[in-house]
Amino acid sequence: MKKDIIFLIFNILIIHCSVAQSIDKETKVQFNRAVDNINQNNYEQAILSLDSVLQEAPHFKTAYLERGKLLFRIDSTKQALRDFTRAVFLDESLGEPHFYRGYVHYRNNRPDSAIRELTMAIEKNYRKPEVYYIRGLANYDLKDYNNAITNFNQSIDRDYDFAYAYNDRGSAKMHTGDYQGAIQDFKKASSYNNQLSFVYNNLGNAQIEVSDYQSAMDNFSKAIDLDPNYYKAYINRGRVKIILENYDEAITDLKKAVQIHPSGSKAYNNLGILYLKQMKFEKAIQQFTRAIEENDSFAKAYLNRGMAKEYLGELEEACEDWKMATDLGLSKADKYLEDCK
Amino acid sequence: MKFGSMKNKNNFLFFLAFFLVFQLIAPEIQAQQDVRIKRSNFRIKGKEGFQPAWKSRREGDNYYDRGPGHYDKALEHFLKAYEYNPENAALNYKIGVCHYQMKNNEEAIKFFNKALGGNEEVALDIFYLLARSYHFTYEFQNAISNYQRCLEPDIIDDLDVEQERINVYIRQCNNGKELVNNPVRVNINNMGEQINSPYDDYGPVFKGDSVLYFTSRRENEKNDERWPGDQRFYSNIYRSERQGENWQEAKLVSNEIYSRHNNAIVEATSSPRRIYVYRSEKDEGDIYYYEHNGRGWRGPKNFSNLVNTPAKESSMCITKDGSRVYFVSDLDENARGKKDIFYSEKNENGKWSYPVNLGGTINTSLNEEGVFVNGTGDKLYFSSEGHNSMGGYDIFVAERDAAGDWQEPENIGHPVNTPYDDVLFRMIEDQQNKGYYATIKEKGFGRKDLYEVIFLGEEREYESSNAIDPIAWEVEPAKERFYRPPEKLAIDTTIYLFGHIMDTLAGDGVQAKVEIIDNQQNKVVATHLTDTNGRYLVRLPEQKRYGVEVTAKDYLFFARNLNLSEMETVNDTIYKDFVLDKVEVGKKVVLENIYFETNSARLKPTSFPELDRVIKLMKNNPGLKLEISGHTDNVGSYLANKKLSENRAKSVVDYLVKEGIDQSRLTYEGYSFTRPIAPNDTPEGRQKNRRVEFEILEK
Repeated sequence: MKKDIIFLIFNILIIHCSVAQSIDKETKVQFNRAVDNINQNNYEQAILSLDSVLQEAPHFKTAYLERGKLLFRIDSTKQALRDFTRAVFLDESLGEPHFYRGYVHYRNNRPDSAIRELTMAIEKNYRKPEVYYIRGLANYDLKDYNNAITNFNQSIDRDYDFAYAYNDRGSAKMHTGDYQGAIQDFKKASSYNNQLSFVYNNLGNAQIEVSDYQSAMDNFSKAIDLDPNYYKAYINRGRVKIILENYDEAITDLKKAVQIHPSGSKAYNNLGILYLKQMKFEKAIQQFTRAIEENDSFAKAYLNRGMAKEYLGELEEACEDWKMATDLGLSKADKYLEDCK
Repeated sequence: MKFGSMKNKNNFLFFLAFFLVFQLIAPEIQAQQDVRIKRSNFRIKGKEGFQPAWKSRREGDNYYDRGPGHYDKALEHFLKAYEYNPENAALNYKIGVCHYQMKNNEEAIKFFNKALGGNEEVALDIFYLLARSYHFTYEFQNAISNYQRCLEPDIIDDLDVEQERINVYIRQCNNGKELVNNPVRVNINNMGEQINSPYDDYGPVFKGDSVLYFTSRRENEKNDERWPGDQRFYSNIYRSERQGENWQEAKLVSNEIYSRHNNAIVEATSSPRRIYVYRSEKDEGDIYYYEHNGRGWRGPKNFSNLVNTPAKESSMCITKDGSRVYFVSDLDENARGKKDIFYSEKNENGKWSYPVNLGGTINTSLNEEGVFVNGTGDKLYFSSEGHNSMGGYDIFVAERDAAGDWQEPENIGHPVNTPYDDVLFRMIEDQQNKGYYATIKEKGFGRKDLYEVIFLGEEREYESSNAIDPIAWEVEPAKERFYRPPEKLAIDTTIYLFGHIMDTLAGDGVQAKVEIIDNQQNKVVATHLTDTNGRYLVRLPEQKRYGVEVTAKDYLFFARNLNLSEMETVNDTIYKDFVLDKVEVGKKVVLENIYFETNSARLKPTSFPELDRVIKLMKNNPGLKLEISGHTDNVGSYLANKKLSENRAKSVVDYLVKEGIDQSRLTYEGYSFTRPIAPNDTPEGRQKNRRVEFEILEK
């Protein structure tokens, strides 16, 4: 952090001293060569060209911006951030660097900073759809789903066929309880891009919430058709089959999920529930235990295992599990603890 | 309701001995129809094997006629006879009966139907037995159909079963449909091989939560006699202790309590420490108790003359506080059914009161059995053939209201209750949701076993997992969509060309016209007329290769390509002077940019601009006469080169003439390689020598 500040101050001094200088033709030619490299996907060469440009013209804001974007593309986000900062200092009216700074912050799990930067981009009239989209994602991370939806709306207004924005807006609507709205959004996403397996998976989950189980199953199946290793769709399809009491097929799906992703805990949890439904309590406990082994903070698995133990008459052990579920923050477990007193 | 008078004590006492065992658990004994397998029907004409088969039939009949305890042997022989004649109705009927008695109901159904297929009148009770078999296998509708058949006059009048009993069974089947469609959530577990045996095990009684007594008809080391009534071992009492979650291997009770003939556990209390047994010796059949005095069991002692009667007291339960005893008895002339539940209370002097019938809410016109009251005394569990039983005895529970009255009992449901007798339900103190009872299930150890029942209550809502990828960006960041590539910068590439046009010899400035040609576009991009000092200045769009043409009066033209990108600039300006030669006789000019097809005299069109300059020169100087000459390098023979060079020079002349130049002003000559202007030993030299030039002959 300290190094960055010193670097920043140093650059400010250099850059402000040379702000008045214009870019000579040779530098411009060199810059245009970098553009050619970019268009030919020759990123490393483009960065080298821009390095040369900036050596000759350290006040060239556009070069900082474009180099920053390239560095961002190749995941050198720290260096990218520096370039964006330089660009901003050279020209405070630039909005695009703020967008990228926001983007970097979002990628680095700093949604508050991301929102701040993206808002500045908008205030500086950089109002591309991606600005609103990323700001929507940052809101989502902060569980501010209403604002997330607002931002996704604005992104969609500017980029109507961006399937991702519909998908993510749908996910935000799931959190606000607007399941029908979420379903519409996921459908819209799939209409603009029918190759995204996760969209069908999300759609299926939304349909479960409105008890449209057959449609949910169809969509999980579509997700699987698109990606036969998409274990999450197997977990969810298994879940629906449990609800529909189609236990044999549910087991097949859940075991497939486990086969694809043996360290995942959710499949084991659902398998355990399946066995609970069939009143095979020892088997259920085995599955919940496995789920917990994979994820020792899996509150739902503790809760469910407690129920299985209670069914076997092991109340004391059941209470231990429910206490753990409560400690892990699952408030539904509180009512079971009353039986333990 | 008060107790009735004493009946023949001895007779009843005899039956007391086996009542608990026999009535509760023995197979249904019907007076079997006397069905004979006729020789004439059995023998198959022309088929071998009749004699041994007939012998098997006879041996089977011998066992069959002996009744309970012998059906397995009868079946063994009948099946051999069956191999010879599988279609004989009477034989199929008897095989069905054997299976039925052995509780192989599915097999019984198969053979009864086969028998009916052969002869509907094979036995009067076949519909009855078939109905019972269907009943036990939960095929209630089929059972009802067959029961209803039994009610028809041609059968019921001669059937050894009362019409009322059949109506009870039909009601039970309807109850069964309802109960099976609405099963209760329970977890039923066999208590395991440490407790159960291949024989009947039943009547669990708990002392505290770690000692279990129960009755079993298993073989024991002290007595291998069998009760003649059913050829099974006598019942006796077994004890097991729990360690942790597991029950230890059940063992016969201590010698102090053991009895050689039918001994059944009825109750056990902790304070006082007693066990109550149902004992039948030669002439006794009552409830006794043994009390532990710290050193051993002392007894047996008669429990109570008021409770113990000449009738059959088959089940008993003492409340936790010891103040009340509930029991089942059948000797009340005023009882609602054959066996009812009564209670008696202990008075201040420790004496038990006259038993009181629990009344019509609990007791029915059919039999009640197996009474148990929970620790708090507010729930009564019992078995009954009445109420909404689904078959035999079912277990019911009744709750006591605030006024102390028992409410309408409820069937505790299927799968706890079955079409068989489900009896002697007990709970361990303080365990509200767990009970124990005896029943027959498919995967038991044999006949009746003890089972643990855990009542699960309403199904809870389980927390299932949904696996989602809510954010598209996290799954597959579509960075490319957001990347906006930069636009090229507009660069001002204007370049200035500045210089002088000068006379080659004098060095003075020449007034001339300067034209700059973009060779790619083949057009003039800049023109300048110099001043008298010969200065020119042209502005060009970019620094690249151009053609330069300079023309002036009385001067030979200058035409050359100039690559400005290789030239130094100062402030975007290139300085370049050009020199012109005057038109003088004898002056020779090499025509640049004249191209011929290889080894040919045909001019390429790219030569025309240069030739057009010659034309212009000649038009501007009307007196000019030229010799066009062709030259080669020294590759090849003289003559060949001579011819080539001459033809090429002619081609040029032809072009000039065609373009309007008077033929008389032109001559042509081919000089082969005789007039080199550069050494022929280098490719560059040879290139220069391959040329066309003109010489001014006149001006």
